[in-house]
Amino acid sequence: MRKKAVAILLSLAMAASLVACSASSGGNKASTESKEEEGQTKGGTTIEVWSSSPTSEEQGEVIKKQIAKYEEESGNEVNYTEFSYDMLHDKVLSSAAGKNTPDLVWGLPEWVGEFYNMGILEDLTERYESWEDASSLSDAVKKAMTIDGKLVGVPYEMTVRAYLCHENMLKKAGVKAPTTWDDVLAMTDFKEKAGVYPYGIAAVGARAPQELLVYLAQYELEICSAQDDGKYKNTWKDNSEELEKAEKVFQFYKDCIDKGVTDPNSRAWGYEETDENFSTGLCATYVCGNWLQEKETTNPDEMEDVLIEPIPAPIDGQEATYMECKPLFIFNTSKNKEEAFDLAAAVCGKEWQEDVYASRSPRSDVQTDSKWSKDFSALADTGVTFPPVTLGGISQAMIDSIAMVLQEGKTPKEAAEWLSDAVNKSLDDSGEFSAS
Amino acid sequence: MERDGRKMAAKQKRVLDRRKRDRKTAFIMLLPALIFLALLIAYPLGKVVHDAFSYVHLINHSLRGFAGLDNFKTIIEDEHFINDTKNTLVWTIFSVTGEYIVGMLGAVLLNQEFRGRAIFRAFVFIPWLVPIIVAGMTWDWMLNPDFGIINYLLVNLHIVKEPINFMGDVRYAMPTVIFVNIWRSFPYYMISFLAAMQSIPKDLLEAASIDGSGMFTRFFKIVLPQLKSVSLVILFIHVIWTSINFDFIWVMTEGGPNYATETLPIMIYRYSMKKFNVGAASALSTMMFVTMTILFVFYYRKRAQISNENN
Amino acid sequence: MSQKKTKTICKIVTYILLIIYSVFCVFPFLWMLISALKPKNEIRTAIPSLLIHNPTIENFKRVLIDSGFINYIKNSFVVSISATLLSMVIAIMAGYALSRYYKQKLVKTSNFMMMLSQMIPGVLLLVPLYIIMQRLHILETHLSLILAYTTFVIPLCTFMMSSFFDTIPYALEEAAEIDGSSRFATIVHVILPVSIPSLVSTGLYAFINAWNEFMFGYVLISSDRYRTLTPAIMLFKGANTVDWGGLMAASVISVLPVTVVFLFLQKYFLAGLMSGSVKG
Repeated sequence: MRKKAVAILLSLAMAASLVACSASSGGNKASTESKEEEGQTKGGTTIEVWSSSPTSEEQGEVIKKQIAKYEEESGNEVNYTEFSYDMLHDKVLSSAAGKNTPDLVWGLPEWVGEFYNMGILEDLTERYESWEDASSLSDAVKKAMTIDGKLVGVPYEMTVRAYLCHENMLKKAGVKAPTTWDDVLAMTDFKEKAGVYPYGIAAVGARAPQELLVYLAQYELEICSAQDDGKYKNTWKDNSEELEKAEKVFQFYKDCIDKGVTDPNSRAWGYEETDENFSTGLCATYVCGNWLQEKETTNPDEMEDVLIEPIPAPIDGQEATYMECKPLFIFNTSKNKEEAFDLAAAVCGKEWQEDVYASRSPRSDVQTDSKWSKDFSALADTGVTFPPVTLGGISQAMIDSIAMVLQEGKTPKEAAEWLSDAVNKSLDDSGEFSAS
Repeated sequence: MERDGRKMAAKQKRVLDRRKRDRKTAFIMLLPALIFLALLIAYPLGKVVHDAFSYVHLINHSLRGFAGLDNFKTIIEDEHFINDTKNTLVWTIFSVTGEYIVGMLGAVLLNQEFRGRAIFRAFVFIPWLVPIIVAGMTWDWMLNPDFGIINYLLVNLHIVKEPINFMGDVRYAMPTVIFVNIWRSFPYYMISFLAAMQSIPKDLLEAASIDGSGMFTRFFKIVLPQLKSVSLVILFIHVIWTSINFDFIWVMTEGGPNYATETLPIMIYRYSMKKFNVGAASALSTMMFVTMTILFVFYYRKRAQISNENN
Repeated sequence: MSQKKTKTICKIVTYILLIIYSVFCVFPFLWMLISALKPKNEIRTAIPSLLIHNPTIENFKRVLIDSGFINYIKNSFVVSISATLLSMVIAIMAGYALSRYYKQKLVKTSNFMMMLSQMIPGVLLLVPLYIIMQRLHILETHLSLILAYTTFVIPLCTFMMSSFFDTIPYALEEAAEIDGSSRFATIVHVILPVSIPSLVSTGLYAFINAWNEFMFGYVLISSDRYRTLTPAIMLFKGANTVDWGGLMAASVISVLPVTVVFLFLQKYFLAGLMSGSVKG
């Protein structure tokens, strides 16, 4: 009986998929045609844009204004819809499976590697060459948009992380803003004096790997580096010096908790909690981006005294910070690539940038006088980015390795070795591992 | 004699006719449902089973075609597989049991006649009306050890000394997500039980009441047996749903802290959307529904038994 | 005397338990409402408070007027009501077959297939369903969501209906059949009237499911015009910041219409109380 049921089921499944397949071949064409027609009747082309939701209401307003302006000047129509980044990711994957991608998508730097490796991104190198504004992008920004020598994104927003300190609390505890890890770890009686924890770490969520990347970079370590064959590898276990440095990084995490410098609860915190704690004055200092400027309106009293400093580094290391350069993607199945690039260029243009992303622009000629812009961009030279590989498994491994030290009581050495293996395994899974 | 024979034949023909007619009726009745399932579910289901035995990786195209049991091996060798299976069982069993008990008690309470019943009913159904994502985020906030209202109240009412890190502590995370899941899901049990209780003949209960049976006897001897069929459906379907539920845990803890609340559907999500190994995700999914099919056999037997008793 | 006493105690216990239930159920919603009425600088403070110093309807205004939630509510209603009606018709038919003809092979097979259909995790449905909808040319329409939600709830609704039909004695139909009415007419005139409470509870389930669904709401729909409520609510959760005021106000707004629908349907529950006692 059951066998029969399964047989019927499978044959039904096959029949359904056959029907679906045969229906498709005629179908796609029709839908493209109708779309083109629609565009033509309006005189220009309709550019399908999926955007991330803006950081603030005001920013949303300005973006809409700029789009209206672009539509007027170019004669093209922009079909602009907002989504959250999680939604965008799912949407891009499913629309790419149906070869039905939109023209332009607001993206995250973490997606560059995986989208490129899926083979869905359009190579924009040639378009960059005839684009005059490209000269106002720094090399670091362009590098963040490049993979295998191809430019695959147009930057629309760039931020670096800085070390934010509540000056009043530091005064209360009688210390200066720490500049080294040792300074951080020396603030053991801070909680007693000022009533709050002096330092904050992000142990889960997207922010955790970004932070870990910075601490590693302060020791000149990369989570994985390009090898001669163009593929990638984590080399820590091949080099005892590197492994030792990685251990020191994990030791720092461990010490932060053990010495009472960081709230023990932060072992399970993502950005929601840490940002909240800093802006409500529950934590004295914290590494974060300049979007915390928004908190000046929601928590005006607590955010009054914020100092912006370089991220504390180990004495035997160097300064580093995370540079988050967000790309606009055009896909190779997009229908209006020329128009999409035209719009992307407008988004990255000086006027649009000054209007929308004034304090976090990838352009070197856009900046404001506020500390949230000037003090942050002063750190940009020390910015590091993720390597252009598939990051899903790697960032999970980075979060897991922090948990090993902070929650499972493993030694920093075990965590460093485990992470090295886990990164290589993830690279191997996605076919990016260099065996050399 | 002959007349008897003819009578028998006529009767047989009638029975046959009836059977034929019944089969036709059943077919027509089921047709719309089957069309929907064939149209929208058959292809994904076939794809999952197909992908489970193939190399399907969105990024690594070096391996293609038939994979044999490789995907299953990947899953079983995953260091979190055992942990996640255990979590899935704990999550499912405690959620469903808790929902059943809380829902049943609620239905009994609301089935009585008293003033303000309509208000209480409306109140009690609210959790079910709140979208899962919103419920998850709100609870997350309320349970926060530093700025959450619940810890604030607990500490100020001197119920606990130190704020409890509900979602962040490995010890409390699973009970907490189960608690919130019960909060959100029990109203549906309640509404179904309430509906079923109302079709229990009143005279039956009154007769028992006159006999002097206590409240508990009445409940266990009369009410509960009448709810058997509904209970079975609800329990079984919720076992399936709870075990394949993804969004609830994802919104609240993303499987953390350190995998303490990670269940198999979250592992499926990680494999398909983070590691892009669709083959392995499909293999795990196939394993899950083979297990549930076995459960289904038990359910089906029980279900048929109840239908039998009735007709 | 003693019986009266136990009755009183019973009543008190009932009320106490119900109050506990209500607090348990309503508190998070209350918290949402309070937060939604707070101005920006009071929402996320280090010391949480149930009191509002400067209550404001700013958040609601922003959500309803500036973010176009009226349109999203309309879309959600269109999708949920259509999906509910469609799935109820299908589930009543299939449920009847499941209850009365459970011995037939076809019925057993369908039962099994419905069960199987419930076992695919949503994540693995995303891409295949997207492609199916694309091939049916109904991406970017309400129809795609209606079809998807209907399919998701058909199995449970069918099982629920069939289990309710199980409790209706066969004798009721046989009487009608002898009178010469067709099977279809029997269902409509005899079976359905006595199963109103079950119809309402099952329908409500289909409705809520469609109302609260999230993932397919944003994968199948890209344009703002057809967007439903839940994906719109999540837009208040940005990449680096969460607009809690907007999020809470939007959530309250999404819960209220369903609560009204629910209150309205409660009447039918009470009506069902009487019709239910017809049988027996």
